[in-house]
Amino acid sequence: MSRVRRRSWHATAVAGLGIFLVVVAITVCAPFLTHYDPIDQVLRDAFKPPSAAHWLGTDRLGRDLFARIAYGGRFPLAITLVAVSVSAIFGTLVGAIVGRVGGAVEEIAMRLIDVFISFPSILVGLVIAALLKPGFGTLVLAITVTDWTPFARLARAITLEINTRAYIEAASAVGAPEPLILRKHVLHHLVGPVLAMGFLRFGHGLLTIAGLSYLGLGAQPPAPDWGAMLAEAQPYMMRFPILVLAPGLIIFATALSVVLAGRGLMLMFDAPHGGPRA
Amino acid sequence: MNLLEVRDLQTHFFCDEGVVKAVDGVDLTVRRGEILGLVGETGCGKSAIALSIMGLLDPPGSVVGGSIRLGGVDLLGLPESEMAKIRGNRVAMVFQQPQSSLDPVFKVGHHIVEAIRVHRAVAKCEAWRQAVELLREAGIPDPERLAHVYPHELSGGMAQRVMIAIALACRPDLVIADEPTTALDVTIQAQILDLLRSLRAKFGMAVIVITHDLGVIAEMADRVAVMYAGRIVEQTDVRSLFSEPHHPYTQGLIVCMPRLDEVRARLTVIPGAVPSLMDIAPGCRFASRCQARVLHDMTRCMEAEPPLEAVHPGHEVRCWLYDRAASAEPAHHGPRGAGAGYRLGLGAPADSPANGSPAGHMPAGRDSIPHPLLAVTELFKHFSTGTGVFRRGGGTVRAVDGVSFDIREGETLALVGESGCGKTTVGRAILRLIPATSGTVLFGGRDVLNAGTAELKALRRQMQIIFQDPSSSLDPRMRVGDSVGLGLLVNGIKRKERDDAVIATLRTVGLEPYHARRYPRELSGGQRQRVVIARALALRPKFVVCDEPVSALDVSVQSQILNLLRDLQQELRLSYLFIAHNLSVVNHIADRVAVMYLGKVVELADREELFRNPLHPYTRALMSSVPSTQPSGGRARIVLNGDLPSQRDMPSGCRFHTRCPFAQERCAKEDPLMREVTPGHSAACWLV
Repeated sequence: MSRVRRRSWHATAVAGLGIFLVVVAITVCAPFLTHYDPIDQVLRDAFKPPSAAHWLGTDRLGRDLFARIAYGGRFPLAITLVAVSVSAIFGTLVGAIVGRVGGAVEEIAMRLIDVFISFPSILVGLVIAALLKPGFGTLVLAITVTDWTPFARLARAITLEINTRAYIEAASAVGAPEPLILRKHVLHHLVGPVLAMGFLRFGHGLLTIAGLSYLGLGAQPPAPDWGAMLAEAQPYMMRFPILVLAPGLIIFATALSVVLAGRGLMLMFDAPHGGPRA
Repeated sequence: MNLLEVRDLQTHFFCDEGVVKAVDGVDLTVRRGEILGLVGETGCGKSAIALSIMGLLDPPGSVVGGSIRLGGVDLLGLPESEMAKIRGNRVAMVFQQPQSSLDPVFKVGHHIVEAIRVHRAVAKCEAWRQAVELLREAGIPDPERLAHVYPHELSGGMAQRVMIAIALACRPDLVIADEPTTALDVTIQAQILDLLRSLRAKFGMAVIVITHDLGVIAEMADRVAVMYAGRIVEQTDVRSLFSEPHHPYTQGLIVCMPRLDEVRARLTVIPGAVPSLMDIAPGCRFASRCQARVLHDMTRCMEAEPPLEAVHPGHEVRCWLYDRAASAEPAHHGPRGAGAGYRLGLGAPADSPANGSPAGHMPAGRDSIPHPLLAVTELFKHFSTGTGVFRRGGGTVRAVDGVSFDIREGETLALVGESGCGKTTVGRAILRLIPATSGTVLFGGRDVLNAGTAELKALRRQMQIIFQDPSSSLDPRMRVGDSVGLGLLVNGIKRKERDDAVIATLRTVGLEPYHARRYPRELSGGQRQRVVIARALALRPKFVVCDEPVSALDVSVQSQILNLLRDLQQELRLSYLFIAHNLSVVNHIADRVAVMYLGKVVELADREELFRNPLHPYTRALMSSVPSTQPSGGRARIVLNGDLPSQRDMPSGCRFHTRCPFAQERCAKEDPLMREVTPGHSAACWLV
């Protein structure tokens, strides 16, 4: 029976995307939200509590905390965005291709992926960040090295299901070459699930970046960065808890929002609509 | 005495898109010990009636009106706790998919023990004894052993027997069988129908058989109710339904069925498809597809819905043509006269002078063509089973085991057999969609199996395939036009030309240009199958493998597609390899027929010759298993015992000897070869 169904937005996805967009808006629009410079030190204003002048107070060097939070998101968010995008594209292509090729190639690729998965990503990130000069490219690499594997597994799983569909046989029957089948029939079906997975992995990547920054391998002082702010504020945690709470909470909120969005999207793509399930 | 009385039943499904009135005012009565057939196409509300009676409707479905009385008790008024005592006890159900209705973690015997102990205070060991007895009654060989087996070890036919045993566990008054044989092969279907009938005779329970197959009805039922779009349109005893169908829909259903005992050049069709049950137009629900309405120029049908009224005692019809009070109808259009007046297509259809002779469309000098278009010689396809990189512990499945045949230009060769006989694999191997193990396939003299990339690409323009299930053979995310045009794209045809070709092809298969912009989900099953045909034809092939092209379709749509395939064959001089399990369909479309059993062709002959004089016992059994449309009751038939053996461990000698009623000692030792018995008719059997 043909039934035209418009896909409705899942509440979880809406909530997650909403929070995420607010966070992104704060970091992007930082110059319009505050007139403070995040690296301007005003030592006599150190450790000021929240007030009308300083919405979240100031840190040990008298820098405006809100400005540092707002600007401090740019670095981790940008790195995670690039790293997850690279991982998603690379992993999806690998998964789809080995899923189509099959045989020994697939078997070897999947065992390699198992090897990659068995490394804790923070450890790999640490090693790479420590060996290479800390910076944008290094951190992207540190995330991507382990983060492409879930995409590859997801893409392969869906591809294997698509392989059983008769339209793939029909395409071979008209003589469609493999790249065309991949482009026309396989990648189409991967977009939704990979997008959902991307959001889920974004949360993971963000936490890894925050961790590396906390360990001093991310953004270098005095540049503002959520993870680095946590590390800086640690000695004053008892007396001025807001210094830890503010960056901690925004990392938490951002990671939670993308996970919610990913979960919601996944449920949406899982809903019956005739396409393959993730 | 009436066992079950359903009055004005209204079952609606409350979906996001609107209310689907699946059952819309249905009256049914079932007497004790009677078999009532409920027949209709997909989506007409048959199953919704069954679930309403069982109290098994899940949201969004619910019964919104009417009454269901079982032995005087209104089931709809009962609380769930009371209903649970009736369900499985006084009313039991047999479902379509026996395998998925059994819990894989419980042994077969436990399913029955549970069914007994829910309703009866019986000790476990006593229940087990009863379970074994029930399995024996359900015709399961060696029931003591089978009771200890897990469901996945059963074949489909065996699982359905177990389901029947479960249904009979508490000796119910009424058994509802919802498409009990649809998922089974014909020879197994014949076994199950026989079983149901004999159990009815033994226990005297009433049975409601729900089916889309009029053949099953003719074999099984005492009385029949024909459903269309949520309503019963005709209700009568089975003999008068087939001898004197009154409602134009019933007549259409009977007439459009391909039959074993009659060959017509064209099948009569019911145009269109079952309407949506969401927004129902006023008037008769069948009016938009009714040819009798057009013939008699009836305006009333569009305005008001006719009531279900008796034309004879015990024969009720919902149609204005039989309205006695109607003054507009001339007197001689009374019930009987009118019935004969538009018995559609039973006479010679005007557009086919070659009525009765399907050979009429074949090329005149068939024998003068020296070279076959396609020659398949000793084709083998073995699969190795097993898991892991090294495929340890697996055996070899000999799916295709030395198949040879050829197909001439413009000819249709049908490949017939039960599921698992390898017929689909043959089609795939010929097109090189799967690699063959060995053998040769020559297409127009060119070696298909060893063709290089470029040659294969050229060959593929000429050899195409039509799939069984149009819902999985079209990419749901791709517009129809792109699906049809993919082959043209592959062959480097430019955008503009491609679009023109796609539209031309869509027109050839009876679709409109605007369909190119649609997605598959926006089309009906029949339309989707037309798209699949269009995709195969877009490259102008000479040869098409039709893999069960109509078995996933409704009866009324099936005849449309079969006619289309024949028309296209004549128009484009196509050759078909027509893979099917349904002999009546084959009888309608084939020029020659090859019967396959467990990877081998066991008989090959001209269609007429084969149906007149089947030689191989398997062919004869297949033919006698096809439910006829004549409710004769006492037709002699060959019911094969047992199931298809596993291909992993093939029987020795003739592979049919384990099920063959005529098997001799020699059959178990030596494998008979194909032998030409009369010119053009060969069979592989020691007895011929």
